[in-house]
Amino acid sequence: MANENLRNGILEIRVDENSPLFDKTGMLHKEFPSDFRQIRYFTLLVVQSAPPDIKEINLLEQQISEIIKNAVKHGNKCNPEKKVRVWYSFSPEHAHLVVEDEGEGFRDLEKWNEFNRKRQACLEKADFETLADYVSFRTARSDDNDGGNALFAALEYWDGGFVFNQKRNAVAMLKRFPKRRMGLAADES
Amino acid sequence: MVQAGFVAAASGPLLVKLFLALILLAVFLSLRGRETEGVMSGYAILAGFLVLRDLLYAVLPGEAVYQASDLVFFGLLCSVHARALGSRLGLWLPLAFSLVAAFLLSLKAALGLAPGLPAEVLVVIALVPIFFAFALAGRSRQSADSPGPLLLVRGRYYHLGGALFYLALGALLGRSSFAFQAFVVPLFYALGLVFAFRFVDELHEELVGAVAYYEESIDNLYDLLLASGSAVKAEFSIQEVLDRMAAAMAEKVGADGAAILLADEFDEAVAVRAVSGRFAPPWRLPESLPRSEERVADYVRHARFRLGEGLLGEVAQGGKQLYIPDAAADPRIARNGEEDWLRLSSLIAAPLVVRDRVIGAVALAKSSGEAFGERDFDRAKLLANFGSIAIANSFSFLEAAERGDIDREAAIAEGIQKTILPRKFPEISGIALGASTSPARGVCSDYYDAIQTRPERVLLAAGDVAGKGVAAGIVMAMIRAMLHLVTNSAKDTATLLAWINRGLCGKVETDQFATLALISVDTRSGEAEFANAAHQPLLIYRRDADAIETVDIKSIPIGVERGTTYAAKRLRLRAGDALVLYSDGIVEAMNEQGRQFGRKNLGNAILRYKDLPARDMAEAIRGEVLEFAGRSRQHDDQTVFVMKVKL
Repeated sequence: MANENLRNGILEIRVDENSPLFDKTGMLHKEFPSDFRQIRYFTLLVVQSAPPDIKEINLLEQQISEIIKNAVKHGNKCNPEKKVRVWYSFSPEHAHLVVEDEGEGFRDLEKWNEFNRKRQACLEKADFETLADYVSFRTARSDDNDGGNALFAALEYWDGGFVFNQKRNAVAMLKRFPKRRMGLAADES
Repeated sequence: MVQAGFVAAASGPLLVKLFLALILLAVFLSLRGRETEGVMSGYAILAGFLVLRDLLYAVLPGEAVYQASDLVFFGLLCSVHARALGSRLGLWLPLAFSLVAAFLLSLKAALGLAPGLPAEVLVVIALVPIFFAFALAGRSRQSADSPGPLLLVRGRYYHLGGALFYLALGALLGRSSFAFQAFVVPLFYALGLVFAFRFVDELHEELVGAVAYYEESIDNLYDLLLASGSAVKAEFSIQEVLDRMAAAMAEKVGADGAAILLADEFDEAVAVRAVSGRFAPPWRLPESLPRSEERVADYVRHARFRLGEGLLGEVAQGGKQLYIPDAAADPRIARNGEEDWLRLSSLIAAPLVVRDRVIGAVALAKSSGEAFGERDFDRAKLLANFGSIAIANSFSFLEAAERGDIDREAAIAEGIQKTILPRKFPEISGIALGASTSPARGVCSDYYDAIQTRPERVLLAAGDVAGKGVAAGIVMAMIRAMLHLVTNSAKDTATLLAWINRGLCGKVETDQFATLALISVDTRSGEAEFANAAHQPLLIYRRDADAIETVDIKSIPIGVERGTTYAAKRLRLRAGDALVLYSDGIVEAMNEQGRQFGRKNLGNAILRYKDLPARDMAEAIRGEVLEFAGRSRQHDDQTVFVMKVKL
């Protein structure tokens, strides 16, 4: 199954308020203060409800941690008065999350897409000199730890979709775990 | 007259004929059960007919009786043969013919017309349909594959020869002559015995053939299963099973190389999972691929086809076998080069099917030498069938082993939690304690405890370790140990929390977090002190106001930062009040409509069950959560811990 974030072969962050991924029906819910120190703790609380059948649980944990970190750091600017809300649901076949912060929204979303497109173009043309300019994604608000690469990994990982709402302060994502089901029904033609 | 005739006949060849015919009848009847085509049954009927015929002849001796009965006999014989060989026309036509002829003959005899010449003509005419039936036997040669029909086909010239011999002598000597009756007829009957022995022989041969085939098949399967089975050891690997199976199949079918492909439903593709020997690919290799043996082998090992794409993709999708003895003459086979290791001379491919599901395919290739024969193809199909089962079993085994691991770990975690949680609370005057807890499968991270430090002082603790399973259990054990160690000090609850936090921070490689609420209660004065590390807010039922009071202290869990300090709140408890500690699994329990139970419902439940004894109250509150959740899955531990101040 193809990655839902691919547009013309390039990973892209989408904005779609009406994406079905924002449907929170039946999802568990938790709220956290924007405390940078507790990000791992919050992540554990969320991942805890993932069934033990999910393999590579550490990768899932890492990806969720990145998303919560984004919300705490870039969204709520680590303001402990602001909350991060997480809706989540897991099964052996999927991980579905909606993470919402109280910030002003991801304003550099288009810039990131543009950055990624250009980087991809360099890679395709094997233009490694220009590529050097696209090693990391930086904006006026970036600090030394930011490079936009976590977003790239997120688009790769959340293959069922990675979508922002209109305000861009909430992101919904879906990871599909292929169920190991052997074989296919014989074609009786 | 009748009696005299019978005596005369009995003193002649009658007894010999009757004996022989009866023996034939007995032999064919006993062989009847050995085959399903009805040849032996038919011959038994024929033998029975001969018995009756000779009895009749004893009573009514005369040329005509024998002539007419011979006609009917050969008509019946034709029918038996035609039936066994599946000819509908041969079934009735000769019989009808001979019956009519026999009838006419009998009529003539009864009317007293000259019996001689016309009868012989009729006998000859009767031979025509017999020829017809026998020719049919030859035509059906291809379809005869069981002993009865096979014998009819193989022995058709002997049959015909025997019949002609008998009929010719009958015409020559006269059927009622002593020579014919005493020698020819018994000899003819004896031929029936020869036929019966040949049938037994044929049965035996078939049995030997079948035994040899099954022996070989069993040997092959045994080797195959042994090969795949010995891969099932402590360190179980599907890859090893596939590798061994590919090797065993190549060896058994005499292929130079074998490849096993497994289907991936999710990707709608089949991928090569194991290669044994030198497998020359039947599909076109990309131009850019260097034609070195190593690179091609590596490429083949990682080849992948969309379902229905390419030869092997088609085999996997269609579930059909492929037998190409001469690859050079088949346009479907790509020619990738003239090198020995690229040349494909013969190919067999068979799907791996388990209960109507194609799980993959096996392909066997020959590069040189003799092409695959039909027998190789049969063997490959048989091995593919059993190989599929072995592969499917391996996957089931792996799944079961993994499930077993998960269940075992869940059971261990539950065991740890059970050991850590107090089995019963200390009897302390002035208060009553009660708890109700239910672990979620594989989670087991809720903790509660009551430690009596002095006759009038008790420390209540409630916590929830982040994470789950055995890992959470170990953290819980650490927290419990530290808690029991520090409670005897005179320090306040906030300090105890800070100590435990410091104990947990940086002690283990990985991060460990837990919420922990501590309440120290002086049971005589009703003075209490509450300190909290991010656990759920404390709910107090106040008897005076008959209302719920919520006490919360903002804080972070233990295990986050080594230097964290915690705040404590003083409480005053009065007779009839109840403290309720609970885990997030209670307030976040979700019902089928996706709504959380929440603190408000919890408060209402406390009010509803406030008059119950502590233990029953805790049970009742958790029961309410259970009812609320309905059939939705419990995703987290649920714990309610109650302390009631006695009136």
